[in-house]
Amino acid sequence: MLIEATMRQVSDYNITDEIEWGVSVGESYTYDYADDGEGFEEGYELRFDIVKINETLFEKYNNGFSNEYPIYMTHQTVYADLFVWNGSHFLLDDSNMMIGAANNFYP
Amino acid sequence: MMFRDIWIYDITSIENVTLNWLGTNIFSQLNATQCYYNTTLGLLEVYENSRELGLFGYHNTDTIQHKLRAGENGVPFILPINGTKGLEVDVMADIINSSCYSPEGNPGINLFDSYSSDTLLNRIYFSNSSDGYFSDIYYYENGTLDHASVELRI
Repeated sequence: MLIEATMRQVSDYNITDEIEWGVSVGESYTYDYADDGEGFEEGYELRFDIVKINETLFEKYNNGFSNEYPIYMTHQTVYADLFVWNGSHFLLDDSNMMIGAANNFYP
Repeated sequence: MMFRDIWIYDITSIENVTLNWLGTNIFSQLNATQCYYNTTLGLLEVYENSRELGLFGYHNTDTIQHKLRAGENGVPFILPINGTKGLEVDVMADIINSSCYSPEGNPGINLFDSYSSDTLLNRIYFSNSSDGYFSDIYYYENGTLDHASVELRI
């Protein structure tokens, strides 16, 4: 395996400080969703309630050093509760779903 | 796109250890943990156990008297300094060549057949004339890595 790398000592170790999300905790976003993946079209109305924005450490496989062993990298992550419209009201379908993650290196 | 990452090392201890590496002897081992910065908490948080970042030893009875090991990294991230003379990259280049980059020192890394140093730039340069692999490393006066570029086969 060939490693081509550059390294530099830096004083700024915050790699999420350049991330700015256009959403905030407490906001809701509703989408009409349709698919026909199994030969017939289905439609849903989905609502995402933003519940948390924080730093999350992810295991990053297939990185520049190994496909087998992960490197741990922090991302600023947006989590939401997912609701699905059942015809009369929104039902909680999944909670604390990750719907976005980024850092200064990987937007 | 080249993979990009940040490695934050928190030096946790410097201790004397006895281990078998190019001979069984006592070494000075510098240990560190890797951390990430949690913006929400405003804290550096540790995410792994402390492990070797650097290892150095001198044993005048061994064939290779001075030994330096770079933890699990392909280049030494930190070098020992002379108490009166400070960082001596010319001396350390010899030591890195004969231990860290030797066949016995860091198995798996390609061999270099030439090396040089520049004491004004605190630079150590290793290369292999036939395969083109190299390790070009610059250090601060305190022995920590300033910047480097490498092409290594591991």
